[in-house]
Amino acid sequence: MLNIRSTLLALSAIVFASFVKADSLTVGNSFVREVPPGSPATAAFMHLYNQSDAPVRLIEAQNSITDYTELHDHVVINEVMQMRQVDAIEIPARGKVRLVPGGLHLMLIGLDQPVKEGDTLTLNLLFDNGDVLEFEAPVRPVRPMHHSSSNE
Amino acid sequence: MFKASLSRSALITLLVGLLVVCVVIIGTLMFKTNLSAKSFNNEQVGGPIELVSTRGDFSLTDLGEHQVAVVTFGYTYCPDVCPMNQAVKKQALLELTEEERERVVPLMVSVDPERDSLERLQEYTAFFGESFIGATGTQQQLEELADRYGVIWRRVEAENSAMGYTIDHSASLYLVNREGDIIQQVLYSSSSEELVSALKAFFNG
Repeated sequence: MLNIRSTLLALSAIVFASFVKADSLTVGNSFVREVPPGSPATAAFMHLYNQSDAPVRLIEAQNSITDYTELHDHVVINEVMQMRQVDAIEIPARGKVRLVPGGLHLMLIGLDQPVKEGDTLTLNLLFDNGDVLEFEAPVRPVRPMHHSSSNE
Repeated sequence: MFKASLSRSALITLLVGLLVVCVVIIGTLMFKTNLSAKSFNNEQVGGPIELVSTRGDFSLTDLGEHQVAVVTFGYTYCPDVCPMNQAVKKQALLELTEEERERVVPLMVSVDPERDSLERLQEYTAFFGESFIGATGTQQQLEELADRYGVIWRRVEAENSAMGYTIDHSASLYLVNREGDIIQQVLYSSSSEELVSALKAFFNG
């Protein structure tokens, strides 16, 4: 199972590598959350920018350490946290979308070892216009703020 | 004609009948209101927390007289809110004096007993500090506890996700003493400020 997975990942990496350029799309502020040992999953956050004149949808993602990478959203209704899988994340034409704590994120599922501060993961994002973004994201610890001001 | 034909005893029977109907209706309404109040978790009576934990059997009654538990509900699959809640507890502890710190018992109750074994909870909570305790229970125990604490918690199937299911849950922090009194509910935040002031208020109270 894992072998097939890693072969597939390797193959897709080769395919991705052949057209890594994604002129219309760029990524910034990416990081993966450090989670305690024992956590079966973690989350990746980032800002995605679309320079093209048409909306683009993020439809699939992969990462270098877990078998599954899913697109999820997070909503809070009356102090109740609700996490839901979503089919796609749309980035408006000439616009951006922010994947940040408490909202949209990538779920990296199937951790078999903890991710720690100092680690770096490779993320591959596939968009519905055929563009692919590949980049490295650092692992960052959960850091509460001393005083509540902004959410980042 | 109708009036004339009603005898005195028939009238009394009718009135008694009406009275019975009224009592039944009012009774039903009261019963229903009571039920819906319960299911909507409007009442926060608190009370005992007795669960298996990373320290053996956990009970609030084991707390010292001057201690307070900071209780949250969550699950280890949760990548955002749950680690943040623990990190907020850890940060709050750092902002207290050593004497105050010893009076605080950080407790995370997992509402995912199917996946969160005590071993997993041990690894998870130890990451935040030695004093952190992880606990869980049977479905029935957790439902009963959540009901008393006004905690909403439900399993949501996620057929297309590798997770299989997610769990919606209240993210508040509860300050609870050994008697099971909820001293204060602190709303979820990514800042330790509210928790620190709630703890300080408890210490000075």
